[in-house]
Amino acid sequence: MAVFRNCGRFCYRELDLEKEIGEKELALSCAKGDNMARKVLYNRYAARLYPLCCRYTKDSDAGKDLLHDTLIKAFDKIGGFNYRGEGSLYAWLRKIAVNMAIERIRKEGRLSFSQLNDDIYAAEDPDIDSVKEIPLDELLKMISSLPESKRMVFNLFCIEGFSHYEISELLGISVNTSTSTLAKAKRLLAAMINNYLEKMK
Amino acid sequence: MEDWTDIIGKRIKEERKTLPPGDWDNLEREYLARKRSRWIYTSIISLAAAAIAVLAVLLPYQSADINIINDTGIPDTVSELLAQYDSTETIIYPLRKRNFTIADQGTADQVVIAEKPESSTEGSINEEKKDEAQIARPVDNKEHPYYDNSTEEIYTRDRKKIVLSSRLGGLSSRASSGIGGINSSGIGIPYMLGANGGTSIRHSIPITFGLDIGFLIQERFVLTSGIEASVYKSEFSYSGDVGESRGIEQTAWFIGIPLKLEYTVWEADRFSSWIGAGGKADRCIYARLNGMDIHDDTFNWSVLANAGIRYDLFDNIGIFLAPEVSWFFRSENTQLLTYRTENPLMFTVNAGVKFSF
Repeated sequence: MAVFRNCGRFCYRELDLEKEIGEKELALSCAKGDNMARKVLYNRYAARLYPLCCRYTKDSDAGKDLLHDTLIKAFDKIGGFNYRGEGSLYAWLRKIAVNMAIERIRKEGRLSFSQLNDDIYAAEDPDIDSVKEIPLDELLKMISSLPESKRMVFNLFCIEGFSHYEISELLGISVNTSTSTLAKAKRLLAAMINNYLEKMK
Repeated sequence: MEDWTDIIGKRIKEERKTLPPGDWDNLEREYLARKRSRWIYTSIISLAAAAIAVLAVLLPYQSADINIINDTGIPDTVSELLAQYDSTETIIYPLRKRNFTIADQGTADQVVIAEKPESSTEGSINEEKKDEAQIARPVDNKEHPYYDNSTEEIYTRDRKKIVLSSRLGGLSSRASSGIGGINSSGIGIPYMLGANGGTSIRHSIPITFGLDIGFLIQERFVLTSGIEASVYKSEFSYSGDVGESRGIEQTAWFIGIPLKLEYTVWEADRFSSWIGAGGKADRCIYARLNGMDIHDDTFNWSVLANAGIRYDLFDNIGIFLAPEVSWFFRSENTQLLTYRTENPLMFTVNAGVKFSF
């Protein structure tokens, strides 16, 4: 994408933002209100953020809404972004997306960590090599069929890499609740995977 | 040791999903719409806050009246006199008389402060001197705006406290010429690719629409603010690779908040005129060049001076004409080339309607 940058009254230079610009400069340009930089940020990160957003929502349309809200918030708040090395911009965007997803789920009243009526599954851990062969779409389907709170904790811990302490802070629950919810989510998912593998035999 | 959930986590983390084409355009539109509405909302709140602040300053003046005399038995203010005699028109004050009393001269709407009978004059010489000192005050106050020299009448002027105005303004000068201005050639034109030959810009006359509210903060001084929208149109033409001439159009809308202090210099019958000075902050809310959105978040500042004449059609409604000169401080961060980026000194003629309350 070639754009012209104003660097004086009547002096403009061409800059290939897509190739040249680093994360820090990109964030700085976005903070200055450069729309081309915003577009570059979108092109770089939207494809990675979109599946993340879909994992926390009911469908892809809601995922797209969440992605838009995330990016709009990021454009507004990017002035406060602290660069901490390569990858920090994506980590920052991911955190915004996760926070917004949690906020949405909370507003909709879908997040419940009640221990009542929780079935305990005694499923065995699936074989690692078998898990590698399961198509990604199938895995995503299984994860999306988990109950909301379990899915949330599983996503945050196993996919996003948050610690139980961070999850407890994000969701406003205790560390113990986070740990037990994750354990239940794992058992439930293991049961689904085993069931799938049985069918495939 | 690697867990089976780690495998799932890694696989999912690497997932990429392509968004449908046109998604960026939708996001851009949504973002700009939210930004605009937020900006307008903030402007309205700021304006309301400014109006409240001005009203807070204004309120003490609303109860101010003219002191006539502070002697016992004679009211201190015009409003007290009016309250006693239920008068709304004229108070005649015989300034050259030494001792006064108040009497109704027969007409319900005229209060006359008449001479006291000689026989009723009492007190020592010192008291008489004191009276002289007191009655001399109105004479000394001949420069007071409420004092009419010719008729020796003191009256209340019905000056409105709040003025609302709507206006339309356009430039009346430099519309078709100017070095480096209206028709510029040979300069680098932003956003324009492949302009190998000569280039030129033609700027149309900017048009401004404004809604103002003015508060009388002191006798003859009005503090005015409001909101105004300006549209700047430009035409960029350049020669392409094979020498053919191409032209593209740019339209830019700006929203601004002016703040002016105006002084009424002259009033006669239905006419009044004023001069004023102040500043303005504005920013672009929409700009499009050849179907491409241009975003410019820069705040633009300018100082201005104006003069105007108003003709009152009715008691509360008048029309006005107000030429204005402004100087635009060009920001280096601005992405837009408009009339004023090339002509910092602008001359605008505003015309509109004023409502007074």
